[in-house]
Amino acid sequence: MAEASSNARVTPAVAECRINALGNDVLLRAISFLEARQLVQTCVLSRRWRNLWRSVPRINATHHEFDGMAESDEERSVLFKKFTNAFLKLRDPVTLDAFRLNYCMPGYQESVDPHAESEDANLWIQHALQSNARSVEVEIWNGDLLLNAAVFASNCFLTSLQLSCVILRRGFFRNLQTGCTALERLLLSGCAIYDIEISSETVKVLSIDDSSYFTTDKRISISISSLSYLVFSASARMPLLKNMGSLVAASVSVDLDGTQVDDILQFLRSLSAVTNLDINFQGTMKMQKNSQWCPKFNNLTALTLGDWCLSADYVLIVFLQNCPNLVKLTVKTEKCNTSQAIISKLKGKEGSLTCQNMEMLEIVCSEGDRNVLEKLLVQGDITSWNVCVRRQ
Amino acid sequence: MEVDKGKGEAEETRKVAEADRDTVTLKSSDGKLFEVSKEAAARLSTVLAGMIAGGSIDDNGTDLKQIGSEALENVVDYCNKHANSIPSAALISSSISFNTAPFKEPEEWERKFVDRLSHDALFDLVEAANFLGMERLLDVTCHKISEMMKGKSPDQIREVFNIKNDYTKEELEEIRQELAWAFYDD
Repeated sequence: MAEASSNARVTPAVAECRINALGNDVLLRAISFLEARQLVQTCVLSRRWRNLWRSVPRINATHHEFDGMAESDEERSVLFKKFTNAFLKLRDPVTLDAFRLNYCMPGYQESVDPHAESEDANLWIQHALQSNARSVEVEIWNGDLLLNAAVFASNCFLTSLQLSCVILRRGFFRNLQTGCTALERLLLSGCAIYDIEISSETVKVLSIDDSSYFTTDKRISISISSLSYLVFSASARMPLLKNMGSLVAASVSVDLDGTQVDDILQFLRSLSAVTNLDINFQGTMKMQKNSQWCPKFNNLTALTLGDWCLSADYVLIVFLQNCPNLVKLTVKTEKCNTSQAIISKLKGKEGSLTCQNMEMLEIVCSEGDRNVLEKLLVQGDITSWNVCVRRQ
Repeated sequence: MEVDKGKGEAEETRKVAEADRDTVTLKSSDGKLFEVSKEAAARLSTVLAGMIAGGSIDDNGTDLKQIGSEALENVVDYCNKHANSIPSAALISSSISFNTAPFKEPEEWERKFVDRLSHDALFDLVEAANFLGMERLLDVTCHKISEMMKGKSPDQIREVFNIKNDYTKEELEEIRQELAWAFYDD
């Protein structure tokens, strides 16, 4: 490595300063990976560095940088606010690529008005959007941010929005649709969602995870014709999925309580064009032995099912009968003992299985004895498949 | 090193197929030849993609006068590794990945790839990636630079990167006061 090359550029024996020789664009790109406070502090390194922080393309403002600097969460929050306000106010008006905010709110207190408490963060997000940020990521700790949806309503360049522990009041998705016409990726975690309808013409990846919830008892509808990937496991009634023609992969977990067979059929049918599917149902719903609740999944090559598929003898069979091109099946189960049941079903005693392309069976279990399981697999005598067992 | 296939055999390879080759030959400033997959080069480098599309690729070795052989070897190595790291069994994987993320943290192999580089080799690679318009490689190498700074004091950073402090004491004091909100009492 240290061998000197004949490259004319590398000659001086005295260690040169390679970093200062980089062009501004490259240097800015490098330092914009730093967290915001250390980033600003680079201004003392040398004259070259004095104003670099003002025009970085990425800002990563995190309260962690203020840990240990204050006696209480509240004090730290004051320092962080002061810092972030000053940073955004004094930076040059250059285009921002990405803005990441990791903000610890002062916490729940009766005296605090949640609207007032959220005001700073809303202004920061607005600043990022007005600086043409393509990616915005907001993670809130120790409280919930009341997001001002209006900041998304004006023309913005956002392609990726990631929110964690944020309250999305009614109208949020509509504003997003109006203002963020380039949005492709929307990830929500731990969010309280007041809207009933989610629609978009541009979003390709939508994730609403299991720590998010909808505040309504009504049935939510999701209508996104551009959607390729869907993750939905928020606590809510089974959503009504519409315009899912572009969907390639989905990971969904929904509660079956109170749903009708028709609802399940509609739900599964809207997912039926995908190649990858991870599906988990909770609650009780009697699935009929006839396959009326299950559409054909002609494109499906990888399927992951939860314990629910073992709830009745025929559920797994019915599902597999409708997946003629399945290559890999994964079953996630609480107990390894159930593996025997899975295998005996898959052996298709009734000769009813039609998964000719099936190559791999994976069983993921959270408890149980591996050895017992391996014995079971041997007994199961599934020689043509690649069977593997993992513990979660 | 399994990478630089092209070094000695470039001559031969050239004779084999002039048209429709699936590799391109690149020539470093010091005249060494490297072969890289055309597909990977076009996908990872906007400059090489433009040259391939515009037909300005020289089968005898496209001159890259700004890039030394060590850096070019790393570029080619990166392209090959990148080509191999694409999960061929993507369809079989049941996990959903978010490929459209604006910046993805460096993957394990990318980390290892930059970690083994000497200080100079890292900067040579940054410059090569910038010259060739290799966005991902530029991000990965720039990220490495930021990691070399992370959590360090200004003095420590100056030492790592050999930065000469050309401020006067008074100037430094002035800056600290002006930006007190970023310094506080440390």
